[in-house]
Amino acid sequence: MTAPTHLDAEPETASSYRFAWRILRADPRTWAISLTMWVAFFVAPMATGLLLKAVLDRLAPGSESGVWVLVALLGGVELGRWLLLMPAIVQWHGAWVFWHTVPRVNAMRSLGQDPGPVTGRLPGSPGEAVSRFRDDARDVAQVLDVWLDLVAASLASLGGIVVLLVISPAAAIAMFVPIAAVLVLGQVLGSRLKHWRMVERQATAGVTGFIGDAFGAIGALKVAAAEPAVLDRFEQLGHHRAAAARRDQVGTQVAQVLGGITANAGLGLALLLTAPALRRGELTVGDVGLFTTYATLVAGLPRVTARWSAWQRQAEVSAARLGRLMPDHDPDLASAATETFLRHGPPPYVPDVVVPPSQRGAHRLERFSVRGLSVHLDETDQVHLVDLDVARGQLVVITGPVGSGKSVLVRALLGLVPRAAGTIAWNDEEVADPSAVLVPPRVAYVPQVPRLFSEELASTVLLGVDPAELPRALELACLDEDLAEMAHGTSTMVGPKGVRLSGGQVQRTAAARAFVRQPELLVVDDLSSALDVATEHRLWDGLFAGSAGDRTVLAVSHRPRVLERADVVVTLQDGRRTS
Amino acid sequence: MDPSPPADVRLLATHLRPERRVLGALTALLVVAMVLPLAGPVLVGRFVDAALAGEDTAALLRLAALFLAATLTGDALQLVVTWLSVRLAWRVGNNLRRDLCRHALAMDLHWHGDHSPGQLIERIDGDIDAVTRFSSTAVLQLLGNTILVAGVLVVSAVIDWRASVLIGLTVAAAVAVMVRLRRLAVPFYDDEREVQAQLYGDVEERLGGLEDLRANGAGRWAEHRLQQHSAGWWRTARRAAARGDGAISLAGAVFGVGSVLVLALGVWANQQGTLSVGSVLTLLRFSQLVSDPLWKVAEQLAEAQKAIAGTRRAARLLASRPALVDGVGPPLPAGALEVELREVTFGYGTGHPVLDHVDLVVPAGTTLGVVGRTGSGKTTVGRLIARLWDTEEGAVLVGGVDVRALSQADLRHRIGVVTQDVELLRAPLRDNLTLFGSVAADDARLTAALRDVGLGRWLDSLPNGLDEPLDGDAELSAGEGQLLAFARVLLADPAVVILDEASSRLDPATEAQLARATDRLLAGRTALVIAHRLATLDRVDRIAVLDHGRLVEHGERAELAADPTSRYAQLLAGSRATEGVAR
Repeated sequence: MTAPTHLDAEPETASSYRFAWRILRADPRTWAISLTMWVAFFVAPMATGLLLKAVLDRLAPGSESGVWVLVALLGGVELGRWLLLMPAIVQWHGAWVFWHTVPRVNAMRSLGQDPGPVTGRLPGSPGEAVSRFRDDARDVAQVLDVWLDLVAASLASLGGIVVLLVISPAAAIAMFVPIAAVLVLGQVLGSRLKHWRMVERQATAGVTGFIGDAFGAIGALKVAAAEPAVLDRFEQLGHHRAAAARRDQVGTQVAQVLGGITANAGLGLALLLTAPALRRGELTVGDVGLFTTYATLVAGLPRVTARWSAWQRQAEVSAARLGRLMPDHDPDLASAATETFLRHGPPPYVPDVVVPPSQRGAHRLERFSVRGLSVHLDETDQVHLVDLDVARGQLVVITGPVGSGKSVLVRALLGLVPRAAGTIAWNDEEVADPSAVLVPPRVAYVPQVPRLFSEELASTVLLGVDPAELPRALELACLDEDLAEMAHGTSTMVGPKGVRLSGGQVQRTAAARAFVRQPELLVVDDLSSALDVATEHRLWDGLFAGSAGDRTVLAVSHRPRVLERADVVVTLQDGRRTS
Repeated sequence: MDPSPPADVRLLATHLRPERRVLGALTALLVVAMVLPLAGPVLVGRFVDAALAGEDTAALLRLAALFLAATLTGDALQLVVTWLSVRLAWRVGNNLRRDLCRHALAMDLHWHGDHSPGQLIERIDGDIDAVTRFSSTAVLQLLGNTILVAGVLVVSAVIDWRASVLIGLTVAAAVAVMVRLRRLAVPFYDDEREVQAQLYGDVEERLGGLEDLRANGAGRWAEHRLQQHSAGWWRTARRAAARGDGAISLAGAVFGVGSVLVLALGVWANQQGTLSVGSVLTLLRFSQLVSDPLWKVAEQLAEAQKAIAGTRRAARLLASRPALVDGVGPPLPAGALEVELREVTFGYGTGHPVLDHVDLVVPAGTTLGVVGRTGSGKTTVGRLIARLWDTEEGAVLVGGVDVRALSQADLRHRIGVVTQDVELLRAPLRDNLTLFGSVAADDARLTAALRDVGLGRWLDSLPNGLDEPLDGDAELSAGEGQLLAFARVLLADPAVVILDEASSRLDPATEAQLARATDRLLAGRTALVIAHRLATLDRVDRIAVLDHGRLVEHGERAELAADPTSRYAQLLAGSRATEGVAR
């Protein structure tokens, strides 16, 4: 986090036109097919109105010829219009999913694979991050959707006005005036709506974030019997959110109802204005019938435009929020064309093959060095001008009191948090972006508080690499005994955050994750904190046994046992190296 | 038909019952708002007939003005109805959310192991969101249009009973199509939402473990999972749409054909000389009046289906029973409490016992060190005492009472636990200490507790002091997090303390600092200190050694240490050798 977030600050916005347009361009065909069907559906009532006029005009005595043909035609138009809707909607749902998927895939890919630290790109809680993937992606998809309606409704309205102009300019004006008034009103209401929507969105994020946080720490809360207090807080947040949501929803509804008012007002005005002409016989009864149909047809536009401007505005915040997930907070990267595999699913995953250390050539580690590394986080110097060298086959241990910057140092040299200064070199070659370079097979990392994912144990260890090394990695991580006691062995589902495993098991599972990648340099942040002495002993022994001086480890620890083994001990104090 | 209403209907009914009065007022308003627009088509018909009859322009203008007044008043009333219904929907929705949240909080940890926080966001909020949306708009549309249809049928019957029958049949056919297809579609919407819940649950976990992913080069794998879930959503969404929205399409076709039939009837009757042209137009407008808003209803139908699926899942969640049931026994006595495990066997339901017939007594006010290798069941002992799980065989007694006879709140108020993994809340420091105010403590006490555990300097460095927001796990080092957990327990002032590897993440200097606070914490309290490192057990009275879930040794620490044949003494010797310098 670079800056604390203030709840009341006006959120950043980005062009929702550009964002949606770029997604549209990613697969224009899908959008165009939807559009064609939508236009047909919206414009068909023009024919209905004209046919109705013809039918009503033939009700005058002496002009009945062909009236039944016209009625049949009218039936055909109506039936065809509705039957077209079925394939249109199914097709549209596919497009709807696609519009969501593009920014999601872009964000997930960038967060997981792009170079550079991701700090400052993700919001604080995973719950809020999910809201980016869920709500913000939906807001953007809604823009693409409302564009379909907008184009179709505009064509229908314009066509309607043109036909009305030909029949009776007075009626055309009568129907256009309320539309124009509502369009203007909609613009005024629009900016209010935007503000209300923003407040509502923040309140909602507060609620979902709270649920995520509370249930993420459910163990601690239960142990302290804090459930009633959690519920109280949840209700407070819900109360606040309901107030914001009510205002937002009613405002949106007003904008929508204005559309319905237009139809009635337009028809009423048209009747007022054309009454004399009808009286004089310049207009026919059929024309009045046409007015009734076209009033609804033409009035479709304000309703769509109200939704359009609301959603377009709403998506400005969402586009920026999706952009924040990307490098440089660039919304263009979130909306870039990307490959999706919606129809047939992605091709089978090709696991990363672990190249045996003996065949690594250029990747082979000889020396890893850090010079003058400084990290500035949360407005304080966490690490200050640290030098560090690791040579092949060495165990280098970083130690120091709590809060001395050990973990930050490790995360910075891996590029997981940005560094303020300093160089990092792999075999004397400077590494500009460690987050892209210091990954397997060069480096693997066991964080201090590892996260397991809800899947089979084997899967959460492998995370997509070739399973060939799995048994050896599990053995090295001293998980074999635990596995023997698990009902389904490596197929055992490990719950969210590995809830069903003990702290030590989680840590050793994370260690296996790193081992299976056979890194040149293993970076371990306090591996042994949840391990008993015997297990830890076994683990370190196993790691170095038979490695013939090939195993290189950079570890954070303050265990005497580990420090004894170390070739080099680096002591940190207040972010500075003291030995 | 089922004799009893399904759980989802019962759930909604329970929550709507207290709102009877508001619902009544709403319905009354709605009737007026929906009946007023009926005047529109009648007036248009009269307008046409008046023109054909050669009435004067003033009469025509009067009819047009009446038309405007009636319809616009109806529109305005609809807005009032909206305002009231949105308020109602949020009240009911938030009540449902509260119930779900309360229920989820009451569920045991085993259940939480199967339900990630991301999933719970969907269950507690996402599903109910669909319910709120539905009840604030769709219910009204449905109700309003029922009134409208009834009105149309009555008024059109006055004009021509055959048209009224025709309109009635059209509506019945369209509704039948929608209801039939709706029922077919519900399981498909269930599928879609299930896939979405999985997708978001997965996204949440991956984003939470992003550093683990990145540093191990597993980003591509995470993307693959997202692509798989997205493809699943595409498939289920289209399948659900074909059924659910297919209903809209078919019903629309029924209405289209129906209104053309009404027109045909009108044309025929007009040719027979029994119906005026204006009445033909009125009847046609009526037949469209029932179809136009029903299109809106149909638009809401997808919402309805989501809401039904959401309500069903909510009902299912509320029906799930926590494995742990509160006892009804008397509250625990004040003062120090004895802790006893009596013949306890437990294996997290897997059939592989983690604890195997363990008998253990910790007399009130004494401290017991529990040692053994990883996986020997040490942590489980703590969890059973706090009753996060129930024993499979045997019993756990606190203060001489079986924990199953106590209320969980009563029990846990008297037990303080510090675990290996400190769970920090993304909330101000104050809330992190008091856990959202479940411990009543003023600022002075909070500050004192922080100083006692050695976080005084850290507290002074915070710009907002106790109101400083803690940003998840990021802002505190893991060691500081554990110190914070110590402060939590100090504040809660429990009778029984369980320290599970409590100081594992602390460096020796910080640990020494904490020793003083630990002494204070343990004084006069019953305590279990679970430790890998034997050096942390210098202050305990007794020692229990666990091996593969069995209690293999139990006795006074001093005696065991002095007896070179004891397991403890051997472990001690081993640890002195491996841990290096004794502290």
